[in-house]
Amino acid sequence: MSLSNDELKHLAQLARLRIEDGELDGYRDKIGAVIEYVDQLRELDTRGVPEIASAGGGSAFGENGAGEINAFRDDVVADCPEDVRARLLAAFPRRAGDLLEVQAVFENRDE
Amino acid sequence: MSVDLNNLTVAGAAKRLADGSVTSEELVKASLAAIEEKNPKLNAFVSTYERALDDARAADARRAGGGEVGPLHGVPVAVKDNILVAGERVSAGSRILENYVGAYDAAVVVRLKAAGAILVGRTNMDEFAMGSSTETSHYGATRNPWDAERVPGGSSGGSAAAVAAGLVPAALGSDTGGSIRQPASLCGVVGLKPTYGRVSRYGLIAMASSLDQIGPLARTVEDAALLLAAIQGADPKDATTVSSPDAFVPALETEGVKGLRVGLPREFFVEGMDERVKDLVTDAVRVLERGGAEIREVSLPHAPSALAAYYVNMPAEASSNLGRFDGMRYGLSMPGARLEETYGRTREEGFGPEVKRRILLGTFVLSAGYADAYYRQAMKVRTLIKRDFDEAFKEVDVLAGPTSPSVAWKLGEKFDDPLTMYLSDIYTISANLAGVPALSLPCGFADGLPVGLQLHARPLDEASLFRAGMFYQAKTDWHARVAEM
Repeated sequence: MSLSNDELKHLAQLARLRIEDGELDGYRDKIGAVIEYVDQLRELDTRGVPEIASAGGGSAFGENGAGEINAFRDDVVADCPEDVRARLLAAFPRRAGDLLEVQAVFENRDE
Repeated sequence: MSVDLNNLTVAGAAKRLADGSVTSEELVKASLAAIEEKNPKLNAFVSTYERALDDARAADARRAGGGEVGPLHGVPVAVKDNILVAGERVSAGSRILENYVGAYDAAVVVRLKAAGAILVGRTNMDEFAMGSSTETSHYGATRNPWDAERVPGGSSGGSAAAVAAGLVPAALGSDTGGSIRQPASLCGVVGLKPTYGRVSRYGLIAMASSLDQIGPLARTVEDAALLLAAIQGADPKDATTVSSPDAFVPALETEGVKGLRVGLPREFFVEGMDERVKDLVTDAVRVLERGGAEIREVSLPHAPSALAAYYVNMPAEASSNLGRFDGMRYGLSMPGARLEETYGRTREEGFGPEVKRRILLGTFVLSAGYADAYYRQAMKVRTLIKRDFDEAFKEVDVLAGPTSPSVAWKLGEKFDDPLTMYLSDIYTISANLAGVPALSLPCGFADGLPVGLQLHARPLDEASLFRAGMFYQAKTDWHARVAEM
C-alpha cells in the first residue's frame, strides 16, 4: 500500500516528530517504497504459525522455533555508586543541584 | 621501540606483552599515533580516550609488580560509539547525544577492563546503528581503508575500518541485521555476531532489542574468539542472556574440518550477487572441502522473506526504543512552550533523516489497523525463518555463503535510495531474526576490494564457526593482507 501526506502527518504526530511541509513528499516516497517492499509478507501463508516469542539461545528456542523464556528476579533495591548517580543527574538538561526539572504534562485549563 | 600495528593481532600482542618484548604503553602510543596519522582521512574514530595512556602505564606497572593479569592485559581495543564507558562521551553517531557522557560502564566494558584491555577510543557508526554504510553518522562518513572513495559498510564501519587500517588490533561493534559482519566483509576483517543471549547488552544504546548483539571485529578468527571469551556470559542486568557452560575458545592447533558438515543454502546463491563474490565464496568452500568437510546443498525456504520481515520487526522496536529521547532526562533539549512542542523540536533537531524514517515506519507497522497485517505477520514469518535454520542444522553443522552480495560501493552511491541500501544486508539479516551466531571472514579480493565468507552455526555453537574459520585462515592468507593507505 502507499501512504498519503495526511497519513504521514498523523504518523509523525504519533511518533512526536516534526516534519516540515517541504519534506513530506520525500519522506512519503522513501517510506512508501519500503512499505511496498514489505507488503510481500502478506502473501505468505502463516496460518497456524505462532509469532516468535524469543530468539534467545540454547533451550530457550524450544522445539518449534517459537521459544519462550521469562526471567524473573526479586525486586530488591540496589545501591547506586555515587559517581554513577552524579553522572546521571548531570545529564539532565534542566536542573538546579539535585532538583531535576521536567516540563508539565497536564496544563491548567482555567488559564 | 616502534611497533608495527599493521600485522599485530590480539593474540600476538598478548604474547609479546607477556614475554616482555613490548609494553602496553608502547602499544597504546603506537595505536594513538596511527589514529592521529590516518584518522583525518578515514574518520573511523569519533574520539580517543584521554586516559588510555595512563591506563596502559598502570597495566604495565601491574604486570611488572607481579599482579594477576587477564588474557587481554595491556592490549588496545576500541569500542563502537553506542557502548557506554563511564565518564566518556557516547553519541551513537547522533546529534541528539552529542554531549552525552556515559553514566556507567556497559557490561562488555566491565568485562574488557577485567580482562585487562585498554580502551583507546570510540568508533564511528551510522546514527543509532541505522545504516549499512556509516554515512548517516552526525560526525561524517567513515571511509574504507582499501579505497577511500568507498564506504566501509555499516553500521559498525568505524570499528571495521579501524581494524583494517591497523589503528587497533580489535574493536567491538553491534549487529542488529549485519552491522558487524557486513562492514567486516567490506573492510577485509573478521566479524562475529554471537548467538542472541551470548553477550549482555547492558549499556548498549538499544536499536531493536530482540535482534541486537555485541560482538568483536578483529584480524583473525582466533582474536575474535579471544574477544568473545572475554565479553560473553550471563548478566543479571540483561535478562535475555543465557548462562552457557562452555568456555569455548579453541586450542591454537586447529582440529581441522574433517567430517564437519557444511551446508550451502541455495537461497544464498541467487541472482543479484556479484559473480566475483560468488566465485570467491565457492573457492573458499572448496578449501573446507579439501580439508575433509562434507559439502551439501540445503534450503532455507523462507530466507527470501527475511529482509521484509526485518524491515517490519526492526523499525517497530527501534521506534519504541527511541521514544526515550524526549529532551527531558538527557541529551539534546530544545524547549518549547508546551510539552508536545519540546518533544517535536528536540526530535526534529536531534535525529537525522534515516532515523526519522525508521521511527515513522515502525510507528506505521504498529499502528491501529496495520499491526496485524505487518507486525504480527512479520513475527510469524520470523518463526518460519527460525524453523528453517532448525531444519537445516539437523543435516549440517555449519552454513556457508556470502556475507554481502557486493564489494564496497562508492560513497553517496546508495545514500538517497534507502531500499537499495537495505538490500545490501540481504544475507546477514536471517541470523539476527533466528538468533543464531554468524561469522564473516575475508575470502579474497575483487579488483582490490575485500570479499567476505559468512558462516552460520547452531545457537551457542560459535565453536563450530571458529573451527571452520581457523582452519580456513590456516590455509589462506587473505586476512594477513594490509590496506595500503
